Amino acid sequence: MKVYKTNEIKNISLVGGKGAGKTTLTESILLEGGTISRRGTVDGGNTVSDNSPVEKEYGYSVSSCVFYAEKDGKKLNFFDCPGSDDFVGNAVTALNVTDTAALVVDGRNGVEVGTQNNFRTVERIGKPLMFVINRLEDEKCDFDNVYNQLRETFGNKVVALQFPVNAGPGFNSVVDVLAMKQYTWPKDGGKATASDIDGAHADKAEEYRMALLEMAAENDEELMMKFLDEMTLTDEEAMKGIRMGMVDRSIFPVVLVSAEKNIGTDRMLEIMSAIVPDVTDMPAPKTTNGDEVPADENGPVSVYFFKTSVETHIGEVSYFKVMSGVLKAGADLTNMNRGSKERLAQINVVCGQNKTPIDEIHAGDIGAAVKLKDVRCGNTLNEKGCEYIFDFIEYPAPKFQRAIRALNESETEKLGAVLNRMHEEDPTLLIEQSKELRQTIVSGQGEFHLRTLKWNIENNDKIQIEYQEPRIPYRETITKAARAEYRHKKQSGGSGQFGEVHLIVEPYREGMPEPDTYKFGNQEYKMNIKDKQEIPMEWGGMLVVYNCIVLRVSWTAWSRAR
Amino acid sequence: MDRMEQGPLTGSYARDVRVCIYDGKMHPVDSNEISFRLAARNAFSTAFRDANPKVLEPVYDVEILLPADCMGGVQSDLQGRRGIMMDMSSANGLERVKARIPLKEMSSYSTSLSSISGGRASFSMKFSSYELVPADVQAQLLKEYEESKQDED
Repeated sequence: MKVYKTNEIKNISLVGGKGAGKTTLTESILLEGGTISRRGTVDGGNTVSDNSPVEKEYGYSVSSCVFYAEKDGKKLNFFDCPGSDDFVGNAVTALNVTDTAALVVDGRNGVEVGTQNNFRTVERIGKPLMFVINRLEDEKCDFDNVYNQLRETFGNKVVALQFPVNAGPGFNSVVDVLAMKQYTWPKDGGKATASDIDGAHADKAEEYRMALLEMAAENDEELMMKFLDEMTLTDEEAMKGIRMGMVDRSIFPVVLVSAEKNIGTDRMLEIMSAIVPDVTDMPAPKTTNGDEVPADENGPVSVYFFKTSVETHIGEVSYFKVMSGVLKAGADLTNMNRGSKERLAQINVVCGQNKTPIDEIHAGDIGAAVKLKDVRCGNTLNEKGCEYIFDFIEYPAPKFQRAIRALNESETEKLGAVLNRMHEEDPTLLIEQSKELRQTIVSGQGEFHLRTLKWNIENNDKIQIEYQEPRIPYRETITKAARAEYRHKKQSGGSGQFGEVHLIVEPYREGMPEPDTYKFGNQEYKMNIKDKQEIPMEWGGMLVVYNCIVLRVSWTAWSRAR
Repeated sequence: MDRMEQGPLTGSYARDVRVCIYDGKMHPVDSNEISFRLAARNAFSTAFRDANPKVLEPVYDVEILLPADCMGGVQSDLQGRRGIMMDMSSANGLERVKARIPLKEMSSYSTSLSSISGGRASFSMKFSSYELVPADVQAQLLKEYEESKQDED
């Protein structure tokens, strides 16, 4: 495995609605990148990215999967993110760590709810975005309609780099207006052959090309001048303009694929390696102190851990991004968040569950280490003398709560440990032991999220659990005064117990006058305060206890205010 | 104080109470701390029940972002949850609804909101205050608590 330099690394998140075909696209990318020789299918349960048992069982991704492809001397790191809103935490992590989002759109349905939700997530984080229209091979796919929908929904920043020659069954050819070539793939996908654009499409190609060049030129004054003078740009200039436009989020390029048939994938990777911004194009991330840390190979070694997961037969795998410097295998680093020392004896590049040991990883790149001593998700590890701490991932607030309980009470403690581990793997799962409610509350992003948690606990940890409605933290109060007395007497042998207490309760509010006279029935009680205790309740509100003497009857009372 | 942690009504925390202890009797030999504790505890419960007690429930401020065409569905759903609409405005082509909803009615709200809106609406919630529960709900809570106490006994 070749070691890639910082400016040869591009980090891309694959996002999109549920079932848009991200995982299938992953398989095609891996095949084209030469990492695997045979593609799996989601239905067959043998894809690289859906490798956990729960993903195989349900047929959709629940956690993000890290993989890479090498193309034209660049290393493209990909994160295959789950599409469902319930697992948005994974997408948020991936988007924060990567620099570009590739939003996969189902060519049969166009803009869906998931497309919009994911678009909003990307927008919030402010990352560059490109669209990948998938399922061009489907008979229900109508490219012009989908493209118009995209432009209507997301504005005219959306610009096509390609249009299909023959969408629908038999789809095997696109006109690429970036290269001004027509690409044709063999029936079962793979490598494209480029040819001149067929005469029938020449006008349309020219029209798309002009639209694209105009958008590209807008991002640079020099390019703009040249474009206005000559009405054209070289391919290099166009790519540079598009890349700058992506950084500013003023261009959302559109490319076409058929992930199922592996058509268009190789050209998509070529385009990505040419126009997707690399780490150095993007604004530098900030530390918790607000210092900017550019991804500089000559800077101090600083590594941010963004994900941990437990894999069968291997144990804990920690994924990291090298924020600065060059991380070498065997490096001794200090964990800034926990204060412990850590030796990264072996560092790997990751492709799903496959890990390849590598000697060094440069700033901007993604890697993984196994069985670290004391590293949690969100920790920063630095070489000696470096003080950076990163914490740039903001997770969405939980939306769905349930009380969780082990069916077998003896497993309660074990369940607690499992839940803590789950929280470390997935920070959007919050665990809370509520003393008041006498329940353990788990909060997640939605019903599916918690159902997946249940599946994992029951199948991986073999603890049978059940969900209950969380109890409601009610409060009680009173609305009028009342009097009572009680005699506690137990003198039937041994040391006896005897006590009698008379008291009055009444509603308390801020700033009420000191107690004076109370009337119950015919009797009137005039109070003389001896002592006053105000006890603020930890759950809000106040308990005020007075130790009083009643003046009307002249005996002295004494009591305990506990 | 002990009794405050487990209110006499539903076993919930009690708050905002003023207690005047004005009288008691002691025995020269047998009076000790635990006796007074127990006596005070029972006296407190008795007085509390006589003092027209009420249950308070947590109410949340909920903010919902939704597309205009499912406004009707969301509104009628809010009514079913004893929710009160506080404010309405529109932003970025979406409607923003602010409402106050008791926590008890909020369970599974994300699921039903996405089924009403086809997954296009989102919401956030934040604790607002404690409010009195309506009489019928209180009666039901008391009954449930009595039953669960009997189960334990």
